[in-house]
Amino acid sequence: MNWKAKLLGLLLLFVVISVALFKFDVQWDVTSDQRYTIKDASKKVFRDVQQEIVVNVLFEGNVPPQLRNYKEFVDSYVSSLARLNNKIEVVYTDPLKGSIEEVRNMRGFLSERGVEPIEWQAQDQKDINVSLIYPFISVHSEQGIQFVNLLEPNSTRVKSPEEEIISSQLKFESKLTKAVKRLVKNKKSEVHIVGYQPDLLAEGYSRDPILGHHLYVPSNAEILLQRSDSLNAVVVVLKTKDLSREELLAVDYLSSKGTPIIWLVDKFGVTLDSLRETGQTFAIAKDRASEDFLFRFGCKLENKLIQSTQSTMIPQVVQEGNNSKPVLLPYPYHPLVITDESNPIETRLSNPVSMYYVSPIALEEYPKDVDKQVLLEIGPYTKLTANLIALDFRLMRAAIEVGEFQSGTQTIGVHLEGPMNSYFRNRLTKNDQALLGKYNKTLSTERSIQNHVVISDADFAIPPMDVKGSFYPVGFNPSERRMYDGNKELLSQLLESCIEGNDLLEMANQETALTVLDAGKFVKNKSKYYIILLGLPLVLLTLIYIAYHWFRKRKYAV
Amino acid sequence: MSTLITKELKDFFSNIFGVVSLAVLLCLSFLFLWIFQDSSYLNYGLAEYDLYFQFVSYLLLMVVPAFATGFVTSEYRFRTHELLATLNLSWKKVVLSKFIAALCVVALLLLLTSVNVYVLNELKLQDNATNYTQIFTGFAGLLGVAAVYIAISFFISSIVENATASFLISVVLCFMIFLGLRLLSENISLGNNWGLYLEQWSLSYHIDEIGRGVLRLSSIFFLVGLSFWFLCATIFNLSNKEV
Repeated sequence: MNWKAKLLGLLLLFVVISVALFKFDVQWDVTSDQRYTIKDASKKVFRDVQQEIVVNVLFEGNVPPQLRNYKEFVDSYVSSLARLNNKIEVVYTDPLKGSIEEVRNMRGFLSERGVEPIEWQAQDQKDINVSLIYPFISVHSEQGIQFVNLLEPNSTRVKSPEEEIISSQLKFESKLTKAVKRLVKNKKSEVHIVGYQPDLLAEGYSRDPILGHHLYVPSNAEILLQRSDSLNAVVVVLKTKDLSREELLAVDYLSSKGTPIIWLVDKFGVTLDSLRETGQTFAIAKDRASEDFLFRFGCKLENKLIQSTQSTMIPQVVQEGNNSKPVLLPYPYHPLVITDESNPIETRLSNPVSMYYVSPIALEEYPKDVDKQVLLEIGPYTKLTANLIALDFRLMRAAIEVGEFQSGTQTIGVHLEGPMNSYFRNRLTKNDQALLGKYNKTLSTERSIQNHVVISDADFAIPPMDVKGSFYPVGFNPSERRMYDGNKELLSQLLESCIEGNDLLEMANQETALTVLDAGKFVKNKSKYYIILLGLPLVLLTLIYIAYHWFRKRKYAV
Repeated sequence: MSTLITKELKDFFSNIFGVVSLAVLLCLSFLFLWIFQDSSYLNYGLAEYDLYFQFVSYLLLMVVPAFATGFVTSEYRFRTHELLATLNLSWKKVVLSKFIAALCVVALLLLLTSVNVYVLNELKLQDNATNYTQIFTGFAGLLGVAAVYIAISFFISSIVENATASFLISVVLCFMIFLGLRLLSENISLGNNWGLYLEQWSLSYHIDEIGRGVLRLSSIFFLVGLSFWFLCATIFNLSNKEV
């Protein structure tokens, strides 16, 4: 065989093996946090995709330097999806590229679906550079379209843009997986709301772009029992009134079936409006049958209110000389919950949660079989106020003394799971039996309950309304007139964890080894780093050259 | 073979041009990674190694063909290729020695630029442990890319005896293999993930993945396979060349 044929043969072999390896690749992720490895929970979702879906990366075009690493991460991740399942097609589209007509049409299409570009500002030494980008991925199939926002909403915490990007990168996989899961699922998850104004809450949640992924049903005992086989979760909102006996019976029945229940409970029926109207009000703890129900799990809402040094503000009129003017002052009864590395919530929230009149939750030792896990805490600088206390605004005029807030970290959210007797064991009345019998249901007295979550505040999840009766989004603080995205985030994550399971949340909760560069240190020690980065290599190279010639001269010297 | 390797290295260092070109590259890497706003680490914001590995792979695209073509064309210039043909030396040994010598020069260049990795570790805001596996993998990837460039440059200079023409053609071919198909896949719309498959035929895709810390079997094979094929082609070409 002549050498040209041999070379051609070798080339052919190279191409064949390469093609095979591109298709059935083996990879080793040598990053410390395994960030390029698709997690098992996501793999399962992507492999199970039966219909053709298109993952369209809109995060294209003029990507600012700070976002390049993230962009490459996204590209690398989505390209791996195509290898996992050939039903998934990956395409890249820059919505701002093309003729004026094309760009206008594309922007219109995206805008109709609530997808708007963001102006990314990056400041260098002299100027501020603004880039218009679409940090989104759309996932679409014949059944519809889902959008994944690649950047977390800006938090109120002091975070650098780099930290914001890292936080977004951490949540990317779980967001994309959820979007694909929602797309391939034939119908929305059915979430029933009982208790406080279920109609209004269902309407408010349904309209919300983040919460609206589920189907919210304003519910009562009859609907709960009727839809017991198809509903996915129940949100019980207890504000002023308790659940009716029938509703509690229906919830008890659903508990026996393993339906997740989210309890949002205001122990005190205090509202800012009642306080504003009268100038003073008494905080009186409610005793409810629903709380007895929860006590059976070993979860007790204490008859106390939490004050925190970290709080939101309310406007108060302050006298300055002859003038009086409204100013925003911190109100310790409206604590701000910030989850950080030390907080045990399953998924750390990117944003603070604005809460209103929260009570601590005490977890009893008994029943021992029930697994009681703390989800959310406030602290460490808190103060507990006893039951029957008169509340007024006077405390706001005095400066907050941290020394007085020594009650430590308080539990305000728990997760309960395990075997439990029915609340209605030996207590079923004829009416109860009739109600169950109407829907052919029988109450099993002993069962293992799953996914009961209790949060000792209901207001954080209630969308406020303006005077005209229109909804503000969940998390809007009317006193400060600003959004607290953490409220929506918390509610959304509680629902996701109950409906989708915890795998995806664990994914979003992973640690990262991505490290922010200390540019300040570089600028401060500029000369030192210039010498290391440029001087040292040049000196070394010169030394090598001189040493080589010196030895050469010595060797050949006559 | 070690004698041949030493001879090649001596030739390289005896020429001021080679050393000056390395110095220029060191200056360029400093300017691009730390001074020029658009490409600098200060704008990038993260103390990750991927930007360094990416940038150095572009740097190698310019520098490797410059000196690697010289390893072969110098033999034509000084008419020593006729001498080599008459000696009791196989072309395989000659080419391999030159190849290893050229890789040693690249290793020196990488060693000198590795101060960037040291500085990045110094400038980490969080106290994360240094991932030496990722650093080692990245450097191995850069050496792999350099090996491909060297093999391509040798192959071209085994065909084209003129040094300038050989350098220019090598740069163009290296660029095509480094980025060509990737650019093509990004600029034409191909359905059914064909774009993704096409970009895997470009070196830049593989070095980007390795620089990020993702080592694929396909990347290892691609780098080794390409170098091997071009080296074989060079050896075959030189062996069958009439002196």
